[in-house]
Amino acid sequence: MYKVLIADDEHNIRNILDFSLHAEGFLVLSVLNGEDAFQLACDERPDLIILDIMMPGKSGIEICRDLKADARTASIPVILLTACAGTGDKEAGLAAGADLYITKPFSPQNVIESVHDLLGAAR
Amino acid sequence: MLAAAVIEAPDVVHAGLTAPLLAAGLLAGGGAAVWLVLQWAAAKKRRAHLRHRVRTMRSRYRTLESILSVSARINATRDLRELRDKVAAAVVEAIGFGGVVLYTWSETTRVFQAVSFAGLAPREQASLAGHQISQEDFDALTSAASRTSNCYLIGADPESSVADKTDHDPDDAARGGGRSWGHGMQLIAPLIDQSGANIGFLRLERPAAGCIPSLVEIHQLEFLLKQSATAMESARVYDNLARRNADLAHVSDRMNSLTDMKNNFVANVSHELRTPLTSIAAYTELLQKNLTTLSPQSLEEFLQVIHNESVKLSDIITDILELSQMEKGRPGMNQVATDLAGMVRHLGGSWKTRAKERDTEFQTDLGSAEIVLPLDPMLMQQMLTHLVGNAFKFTPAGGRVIVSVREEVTAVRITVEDNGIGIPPDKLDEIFDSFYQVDGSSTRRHNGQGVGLAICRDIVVHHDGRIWAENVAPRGTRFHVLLPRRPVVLQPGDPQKLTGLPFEAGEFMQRLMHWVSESLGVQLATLMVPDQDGEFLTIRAAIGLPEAVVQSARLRRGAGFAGKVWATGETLLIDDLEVEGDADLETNDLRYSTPSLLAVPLLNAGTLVGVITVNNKIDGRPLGDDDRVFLESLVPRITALLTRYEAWQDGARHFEAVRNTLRATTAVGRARHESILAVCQEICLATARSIDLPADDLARLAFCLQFYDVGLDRVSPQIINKPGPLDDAERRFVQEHVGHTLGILEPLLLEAKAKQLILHHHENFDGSGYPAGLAGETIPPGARLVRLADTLASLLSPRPWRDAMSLAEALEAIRRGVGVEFCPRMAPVFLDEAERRRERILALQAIEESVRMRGAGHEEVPPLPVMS
Repeated sequence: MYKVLIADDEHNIRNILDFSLHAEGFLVLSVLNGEDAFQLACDERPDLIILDIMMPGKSGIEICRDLKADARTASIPVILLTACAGTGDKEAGLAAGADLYITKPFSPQNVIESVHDLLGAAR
Repeated sequence: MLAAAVIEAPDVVHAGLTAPLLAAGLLAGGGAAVWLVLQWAAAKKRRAHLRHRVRTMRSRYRTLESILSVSARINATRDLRELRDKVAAAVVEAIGFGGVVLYTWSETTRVFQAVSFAGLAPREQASLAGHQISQEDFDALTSAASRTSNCYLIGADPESSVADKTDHDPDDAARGGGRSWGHGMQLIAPLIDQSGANIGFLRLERPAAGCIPSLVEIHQLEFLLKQSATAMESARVYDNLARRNADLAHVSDRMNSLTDMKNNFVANVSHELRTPLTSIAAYTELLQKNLTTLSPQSLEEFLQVIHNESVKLSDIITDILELSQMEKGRPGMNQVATDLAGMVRHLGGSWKTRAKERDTEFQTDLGSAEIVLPLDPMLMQQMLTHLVGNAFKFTPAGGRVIVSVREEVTAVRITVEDNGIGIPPDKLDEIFDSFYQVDGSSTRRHNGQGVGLAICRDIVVHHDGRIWAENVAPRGTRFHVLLPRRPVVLQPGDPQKLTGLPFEAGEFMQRLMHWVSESLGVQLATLMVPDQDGEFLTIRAAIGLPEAVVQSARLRRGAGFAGKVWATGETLLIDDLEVEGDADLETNDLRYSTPSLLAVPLLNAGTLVGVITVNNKIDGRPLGDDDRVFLESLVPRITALLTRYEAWQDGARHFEAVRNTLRATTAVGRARHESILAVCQEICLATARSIDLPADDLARLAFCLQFYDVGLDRVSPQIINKPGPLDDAERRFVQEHVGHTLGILEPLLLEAKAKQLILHHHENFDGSGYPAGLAGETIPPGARLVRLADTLASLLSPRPWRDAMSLAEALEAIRRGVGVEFCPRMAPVFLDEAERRRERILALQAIEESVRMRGAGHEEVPPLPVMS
């Protein structure tokens, strides 16, 4: 069973992702901020990570950079799922090493499909 | 003998022709040897003369060279101040004067002012710094002097002037043949610019040669000064340009930052809209796909999310619409008598729920059951929602938010306090700007579009109130909102030329009137000013008067109370309006609910610039002599503020300081109404009167008694309210409040004596106090009196580390401190005056105690938090 880690400070977003991924048979871990996400990623080695950008403490971009720089987590695919849709935001996200950049509002179905794609490619 | 006579004959000096003729005569007389001797003597004389001329020319050349080189230096100087110093120094260096004072003409003050010095002893220089000479004095000075070229010689006999040597060979003086420079003589050399205007002058003393300068030297001096005047003119032009450039740069920065803020706003709004939209879209999609398979609980939950997020979305849209309302100036405001405490209680329910969700503590602290004042309830509710929402947003889980509503003398104060992340001190004012966010970056941690506080400020301003934020120790922010119970009404014609600066005309007047009314504890305060023709007094601003009265009131000189003050230029204190008011009551009618009134003239250099009238003390007592002394002590401050306000161009920074001062001194809320503190002030003033403190000192004392401790608000409440003893560092923090106080009061332009009084009010008689460790009679008398009042007020009120003392205990404590902390001459008188007010103090202690009992459970800010 694939393990997916979600980091988002919005309760509703965590819920909907949890619900959708769960329905697809994933094991879902969720946290409220970036630091916890990094810690849990190191401990649990999930198969994929979905990060929000604007979170209390370190931003999703910083965490993504940290994950990609750490040997333990560098190979885990990262999706940035964010309301930051300004010019340059996506570029900054991809430059930080994210595998995919999805802007909010998003379709849960699309996110599921992207997760499947990334996991398939990672195999 | 003959030879000697010839040598002495003045003509021989340029005797190209006479000498041979004379020689021929002598030859004819038959003395060839004599001829030779004469010839030799004449030649020697000529050589000596030539040598001298060469020396003179060389010295003049050196002087000119030195003038040219200092001119070059002067011309290269752009900074006006530096330039003036260089000019003064150049006169010493190149022309050779021992002492130089440079005066320049100031267009604003219309006087010549001493601005630069050279060659003077430091003490002499200090005594002359800023010395002023009016145009009349200058004319008188120069008319009595003898003139040479454009310069004037003062303090000399007419015959010793430079002028009477002009028909002689000017070399006389250069050769040391000039008359000697007498004691007390001065040379005045005007600075004339290109257009012929007199832009200043130099006062010169002690020429190096020790004699009155020759015409040539005067011409050299004038040459140098002409260069200097030109250089000063161009430096001034340069300075103006530079200043204008700086202004432009400031405006341009401001525009750029406004643009940035607007850009951020668009980004933020889109982010803010996306967040609820995301939930709505995702949950709707999920519902559509799984409608048949979802459990009823999940269905219910999803629909709830969609509903909640829709509400959030519509709130954001309301805010944005609100912003455009704000720009239109709120035409639809609807003020009705509203119970603010009730409103907070009502909203408190939903805030408590919100607090629980966020794992935050929420408290309300409402002084009395009902606090009714005229408000627009919708707007006020919106403001409260913003402020409290903001507090929650910046307070992490485990924190706390406290909302309090308190009645003060002329206003109601709302505070919203959190122990969250706080606000950088330099951003405390900016947060109220539209679109402003402390962290506007895209990686910022907090949501919001940066309009909430701008909306709050707008709402508060439309209620004639004030809003500001401060950080509290150890962490967190406290927002204050002061809503006047009696709004300030301004003359509608008040110039709006000040719009655009951070401190606008209306706000200035409003703060000023609040300051006066809060400080005196009166419901009604009016500022009247003479109209342009000097015919009538009209109301410029008033607190507690209906708008119609403000607009229509006009008093002729001598008519009404204010008109009388205008005519006499003297303060008017009326104890009993019904008896003394007679004819005036027609014009002033029913506004006086307590039968006393106080009106003081605002005089600026003898000219009346306004009249302040106050009445209706909040505590119902008549206005007394102490109030008169206090209001009179405010007069120079108010006049200074008004005068500066008229000269608005001073720049924004200065007015920031004025705003902060008025804010800090009003916000203390220690009004002159019946309270223990007020009685202690009264005892202090009575003591001062009975030891015959001079009237000036009495006024200063009255002023300082009100404001001597405003700096305490800058000291962390954690330290001030610490129950145990203070450590050294904490004690130092507390002691620093004296400096804070002086800083806050700076824009009021206190005279040195008043500053001394505040500075030394913690000195002990035996020299063990702070900050200077002064002892005995060297401590200013006023400071010794404040020390007594401060101590008594503090002892009679409870402190976190002890209960309130009884009057007997407090007086005994002071008695024990006589000679140690307190002045042995003043303390007995003070104690007597206190004894005389025993009944009132006991009654007040009882009242304050019962107030505390009622407010038990809440942390009460002591009226005078002093570490004595």
